[in-house]
Amino acid sequence: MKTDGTPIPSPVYHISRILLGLIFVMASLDKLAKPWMFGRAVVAYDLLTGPLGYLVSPVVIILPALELVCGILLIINKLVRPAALLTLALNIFFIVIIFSAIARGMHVECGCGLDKGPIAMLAGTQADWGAIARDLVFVVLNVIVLLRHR
Amino acid sequence: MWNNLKTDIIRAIWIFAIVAVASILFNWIRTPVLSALADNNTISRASLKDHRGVFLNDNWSHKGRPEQVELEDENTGDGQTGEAGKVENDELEQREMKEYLIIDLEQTKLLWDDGECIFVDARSPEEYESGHIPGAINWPHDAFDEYHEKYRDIISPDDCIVVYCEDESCDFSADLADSLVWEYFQEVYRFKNGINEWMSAIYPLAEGPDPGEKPEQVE
Repeated sequence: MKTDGTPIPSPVYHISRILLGLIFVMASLDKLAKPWMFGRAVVAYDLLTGPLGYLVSPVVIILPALELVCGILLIINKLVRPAALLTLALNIFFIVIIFSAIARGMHVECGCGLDKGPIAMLAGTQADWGAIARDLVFVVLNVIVLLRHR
Repeated sequence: MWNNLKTDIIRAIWIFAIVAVASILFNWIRTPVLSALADNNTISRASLKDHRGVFLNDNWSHKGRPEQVELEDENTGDGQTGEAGKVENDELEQREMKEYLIIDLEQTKLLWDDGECIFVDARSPEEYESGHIPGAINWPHDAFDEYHEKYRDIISPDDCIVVYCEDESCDFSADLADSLVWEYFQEVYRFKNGINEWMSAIYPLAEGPDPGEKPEQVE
């Protein structure tokens, strides 16, 4: 099996890359279709309060578009490493945000955009440990893509 | 390796910058178009609300979490229940948009006992049929326009409306309450803790597709 000197076999890399791309595209579509609901979910985390409330709209506008573009780049195998760096940063950011909600004892919707389908059935739709576990799996996929694709 | 990483990080920053500028530009162009469509009644004001994330100069910090309010007598007492029926658009335009208010179980029960408000279940028809507050009608949050048309003759923007869904983490009722606010409904309450808290208080439930009858007196 060809590994190009990296510890990740080629099929594992390609499956991880396409899976990660599909997850990000799926997550973005729901947010793009219902920006208001996504904005509500962002507000519910209670982090963008007071004057920071002005940042909610840019988040609602930019974040789903970024997820969509990164997802597409991963799927079509173009600019894979920059896209994977961005998705890794996003995943770590989501984990920190969800953890902050858990630490503050909040019960909020995840707002992850994966509220329907098999992923939601596995990890639920709440910002809880299930959501963190799911994001950690995405981080593993991300690391596989980054390690293999030098 | 590190040189590659540096190049990749710079490329990632470029991707971020291009996507950010493009998406903001797209929204900047789309916003006035949507507003014009809503003004022409081509799309409903509530569906305009669904794109409200595009208003860049919006401060969201107060949205979705209005302070819980003490209900005054005028809200629980004679109420402002208007005559149901179609309100003309020019009449609507003279109204102000009023944020909905969050109420707790006790306040919800008071309004329910009082009988002046229309209770609205924002969940799906299946969830509604499995158990809802007696007398509540079903208005799934994700089919706002369809049900708005259906209820046009029985609900007026002057009516007092109480919306609820599952529990505090469920945002269906927030979405529906927002849609009603955007349609200039003047008195909208959101029972934040929803049907779960209602059931844990062992208050009556109705099952099936009909709103059901409200029992005479429930303590």
